[in-house]
Amino acid sequence: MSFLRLEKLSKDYGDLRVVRDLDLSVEQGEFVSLLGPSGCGKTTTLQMIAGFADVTRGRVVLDGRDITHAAPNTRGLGIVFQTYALFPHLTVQDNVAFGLAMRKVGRAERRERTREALALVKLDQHGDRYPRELSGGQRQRVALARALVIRPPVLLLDEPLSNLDAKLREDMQFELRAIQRKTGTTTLMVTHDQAEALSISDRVVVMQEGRATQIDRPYRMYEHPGSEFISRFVGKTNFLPATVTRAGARAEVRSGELCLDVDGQGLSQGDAVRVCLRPEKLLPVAPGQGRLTGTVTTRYFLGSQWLYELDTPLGALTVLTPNDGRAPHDDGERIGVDWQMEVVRVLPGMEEQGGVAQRQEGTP
Amino acid sequence: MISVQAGPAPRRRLDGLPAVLGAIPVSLLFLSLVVTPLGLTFVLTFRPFDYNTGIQAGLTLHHYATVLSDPYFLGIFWRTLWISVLTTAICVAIGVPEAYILSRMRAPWRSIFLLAVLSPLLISLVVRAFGWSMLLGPAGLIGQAARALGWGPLLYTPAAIVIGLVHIMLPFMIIPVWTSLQKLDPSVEHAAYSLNASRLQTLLRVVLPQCMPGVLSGSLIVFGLSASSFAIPALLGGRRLKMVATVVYDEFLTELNWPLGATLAILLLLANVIIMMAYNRVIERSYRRSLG
Repeated sequence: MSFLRLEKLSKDYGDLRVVRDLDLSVEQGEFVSLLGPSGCGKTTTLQMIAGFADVTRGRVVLDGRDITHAAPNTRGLGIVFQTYALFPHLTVQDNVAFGLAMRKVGRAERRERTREALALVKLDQHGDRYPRELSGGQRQRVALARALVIRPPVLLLDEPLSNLDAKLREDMQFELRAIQRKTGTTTLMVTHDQAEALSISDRVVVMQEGRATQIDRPYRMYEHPGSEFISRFVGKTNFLPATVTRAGARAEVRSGELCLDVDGQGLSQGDAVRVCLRPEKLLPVAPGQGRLTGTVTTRYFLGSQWLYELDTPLGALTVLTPNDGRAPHDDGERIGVDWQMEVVRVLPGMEEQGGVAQRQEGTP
Repeated sequence: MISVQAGPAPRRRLDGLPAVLGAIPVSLLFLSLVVTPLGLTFVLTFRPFDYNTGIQAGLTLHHYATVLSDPYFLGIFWRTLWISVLTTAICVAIGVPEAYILSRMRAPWRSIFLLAVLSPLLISLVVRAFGWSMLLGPAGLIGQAARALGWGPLLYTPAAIVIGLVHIMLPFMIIPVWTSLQKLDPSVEHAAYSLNASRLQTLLRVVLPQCMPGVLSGSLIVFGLSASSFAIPALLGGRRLKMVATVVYDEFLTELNWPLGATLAILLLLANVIIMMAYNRVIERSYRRSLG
């Protein structure tokens, strides 16, 4: 029996179906992310759980209690808003204590728990300040302390880190995870940042046009994306058009000169498929060796890594290699590309939903 | 007048000659239309006056002594004060909920109702005052209703003045409150609900404190305009029920005692300035840190 359960949760705005038949079970203490591009219905889903948006169909069950139509102020969920939504007229301390005051927690206990919550987010020195006197990262922490101090059964995070700059965002990611581990609060986070979702979640839900298209552990999601869209959205991917030339337990797919031996499950002879290769799983080797040879068209220095755009007989290919101190390849240089057989993924050649792939920009 | 509301980001400052040149037109306007008449009025308050010979040369504090020792004038100052305070309080009580409801309305209705709120400003004050005097008079709808309820006549009482003033001043309360409500982050209310606050608690503890700067600047405007209002007390207060502005008018145009009228006017201005500055200081001190 899961702790938070969404059953066929749907939301319509007129004819527009924003969320469609979303099923999700979250275990106690689990950290789940709803990941998707803007407009995919992830924030609406969160608002339905919080009670700020009416549920059109389906149910929200929290710890065995149906809260589908409960008033927002009876659900007792902790929520961190994208804009933080701190009370600007109250000090940090009073912001955090607000929820306790509303629950009629006694003065002494209120003070103690407020102090504890502020210590948890390392803001115990700033209790007397007003929100506008704090930096963005500090406001974020206050919002988190305010949501956690009421010891909510579920913590809902709505794009919590999107208003922070890159460096701070990375630090806060890990801190968020550490705090969540410490308190053990079941957490549901909405984000459009795949790196954020992968790095700190126990499970990731990819949402696309109101549907949950894949629910998986981050590593599995990355290694075995269920569709081309997910493959592109969660990390970078090279796609090679190919045809199945031999079906069976081990199948053979052919893309131009390249012939690959892959897991044959679900493939039948003559199928048009797409071969996916993650850029970081491609190894540059001496020209003529490896499975493919190409010319470097552009290279980008990413600090810890080099990103090469290659021109190969099968089309453009992106290769990502660690910056291990060796001299990088130059533009125009011919290099070979090799990879382990197990890293190849094969996806159906046709996207079932038109218009999905065009949302992606900048991916090869 | 009041600096509790956050202004836009500072623009590049103008210095030197362009700044001086740019300030000349407004300075001339201000000097000729505000400072000069005010200065002349102030000088007038010290001139001796005789009903047979008119204004004399020389200096005297006689008029100040007269105003400050005569219970008739003090009574009028007191009435002006309490009518203005009461008007301000009623404007807060009506204007704040009205502004909140207005800010919650959806697109077409909001503009329509905002126009309805502001439309009184488009009609002449005198016309509106006469309208009220017809309604409140013995033959008017409200006047008859009041008599039927045993409240006695309404027209030419302080109640009539307060009713008229509230009607005139309401837009000046609603607009600043509405402006500060517009700046409110809607998810702040959601945050309060998520922390178990009821609707009422959210309104009182989250929404209202945040629109306090608007309420306070609105009440400054309403108080200042009410205390110096002339047309409404003149038309709805009648010949006998005076406020300071109407007494000033009488002294100048009926009694022809210009120095006494000027003294009353200067004292009203002084009282108004002191009250409003004290009020503004209190506001600034309590909201500077939190709401900027």
